[in-house]
Amino acid sequence: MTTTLLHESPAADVEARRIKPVLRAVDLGKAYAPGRGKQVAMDRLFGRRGPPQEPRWVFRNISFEIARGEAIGIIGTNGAGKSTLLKLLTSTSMPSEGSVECHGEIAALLELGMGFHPDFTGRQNAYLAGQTQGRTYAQIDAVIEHIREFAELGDYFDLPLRTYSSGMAVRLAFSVATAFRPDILVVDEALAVGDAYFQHKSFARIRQFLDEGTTLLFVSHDPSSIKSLCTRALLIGDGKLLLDSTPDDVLDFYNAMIAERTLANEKTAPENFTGRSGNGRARFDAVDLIAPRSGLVNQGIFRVGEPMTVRLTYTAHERLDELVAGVLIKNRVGADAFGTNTWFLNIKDLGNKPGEQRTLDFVFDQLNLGPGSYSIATALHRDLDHLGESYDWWERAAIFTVVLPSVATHFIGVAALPLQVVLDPPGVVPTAPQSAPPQAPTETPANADQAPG
Amino acid sequence: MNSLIAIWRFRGLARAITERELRTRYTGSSLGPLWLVLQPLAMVLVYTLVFSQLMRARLPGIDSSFAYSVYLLTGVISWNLFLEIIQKSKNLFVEHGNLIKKVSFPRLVLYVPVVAVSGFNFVIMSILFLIFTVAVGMFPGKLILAAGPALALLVVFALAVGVLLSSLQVFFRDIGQVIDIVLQLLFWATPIIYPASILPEAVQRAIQWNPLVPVFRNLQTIFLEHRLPEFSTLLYPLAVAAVIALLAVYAYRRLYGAILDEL
Repeated sequence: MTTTLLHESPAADVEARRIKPVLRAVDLGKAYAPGRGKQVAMDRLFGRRGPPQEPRWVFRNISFEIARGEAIGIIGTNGAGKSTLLKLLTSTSMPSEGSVECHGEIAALLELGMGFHPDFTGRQNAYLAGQTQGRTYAQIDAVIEHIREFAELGDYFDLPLRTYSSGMAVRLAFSVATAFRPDILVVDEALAVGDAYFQHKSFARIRQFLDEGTTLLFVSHDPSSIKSLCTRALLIGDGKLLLDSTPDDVLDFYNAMIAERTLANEKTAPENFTGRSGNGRARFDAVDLIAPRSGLVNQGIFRVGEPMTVRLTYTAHERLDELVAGVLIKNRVGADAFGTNTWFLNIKDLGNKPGEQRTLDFVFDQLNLGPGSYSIATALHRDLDHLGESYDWWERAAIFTVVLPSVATHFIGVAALPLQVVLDPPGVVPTAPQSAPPQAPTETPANADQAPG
Repeated sequence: MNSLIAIWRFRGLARAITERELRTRYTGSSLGPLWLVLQPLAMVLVYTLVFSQLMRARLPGIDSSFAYSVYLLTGVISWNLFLEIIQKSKNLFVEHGNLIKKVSFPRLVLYVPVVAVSGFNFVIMSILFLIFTVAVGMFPGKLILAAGPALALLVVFALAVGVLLSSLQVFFRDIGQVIDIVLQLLFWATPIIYPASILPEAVQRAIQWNPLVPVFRNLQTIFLEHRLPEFSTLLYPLAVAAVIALLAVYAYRRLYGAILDEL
């Protein structure tokens, strides 16, 4: 599966970069050598630097700059390296290559608990956690009541942490991490554990910090919280930085990526069924999707309204006068989105050159499909449809994903209908308001309201 | 220098971990902090009563029934300080792995509680020991200040070994076992339980290579002979400690990134 970059630099982004960055990653890469710690240690002790031998790269060549006050969402599938990236940025892990520059104080809410000790009370842990951030007793004394109130733990605040539910532990961790406004706040999915009420409360606090100039790094699988909090998003996958753009762009791309992955899995699932049937008197040699604008073949991602060419390469093994070729686009759940064939289009002589490889293009000038993942089934058959005689039926011969070109053209649904919206169009005379009909029963709406109640 | 400033900035954390270490020893017990004193007291009583009264052990050349007890306690209490620092440091990264993986703070702060807790135990024992010397009329008076250099050296030595071991222990878990054996050998290769004078000439020369011998000799001179020790003999252990410290710093710097991955 290939995924190409749709790299865009929105104006807001460029604007932000003029200010001095608080956080800069240069060619960042992280490799592990699982199970070979002894070897790595020996290498290090005797002079070898850089990544370990036989490395397993989580990601490589990640570079970005984050300006003061930006709110960055970090998106990626499980195992893409989001948490590893945050660990490098908060220096709880060292990069294998590249570097991190950080100008400011970081408060990180990485995994649950931030190193809490189960036998100590919430209060004692709050002190301890504050001190790992370099605060003194006196400084924590000044805010301990705020921590207690914000976490809403009640009597539990003075009970050992092992008696806490995971939600309570997160509430405490969040309250402690945000007791002082940090220059950079890092939140790693932790908030998902809290209930809706606490999430609202913590988002309100994060927003307040953002207004006061804190920089936010936020990992979440919840698109709505990324959209509402973040001004920019980074998509990590396939061991690299795939996209650095607005949250909407990145989320669209990400959703498309997920859908594509799901489809790819479905495709390989039934091993005995290849998705091809037919008697083989004519057969496809290849089905390719071409993006005419870039010339890329089978890159798999198209924007709404972009042109797309479906190129069928086939060979008729004998003379077939009534040979018809068809394509059928299906959406993610397998419902037909669009289909046609050469019989309907009245294109003839497909089968008059037996044994010779031929090419047939279906050129879509505008791919007016809604965003999502699609598959193409192609068929060679006799006459109107494949029920007559099927030479070659190829289910899921090609897969592609449609993404929104930008936030500006947001819509929902399966079809991208060309549309113009006109307010008060010229030539339309507004109808004069009629005088109220004398018999109009004014009680009816009231009754209607009561009916369902 | 930077790391010293960092340690000062994170003194609150060092204090909190120290308190936690001390408190976990007696949380939930009804006698509470009293336990911090009872154990050392038992040890001091055993060494004094058993050896001076029951076994009537004598030091050659000194005519006092308590001289051997004083000799023994001087050595054992100081050895415990040395041993405790090394043993507490050796698992430091593994033990605090949870904290190290999640929060970024100067890791050297973690050694402060090690020294503080070991030092706390040492001070309690020493107070009991000094009370005993006063009781038996063997208190060295102002001379105890002369124990400063030897004790400081002992702490630095132990800390250097501890830092080196803690970095290596993350990768080579056998080191913890090996070092326990080495420490046992070292203990018996140092005149702590026995006086150096009972050893054959050849062995006496051989143990001069043991860098701990002059340190303990210093302390024993003060508490038994009540005279100033020869400070110049400490130069050799100081040099050894310095070499180990350099190795420790090298290993720690080189391994730091890998330690974070390995934990």
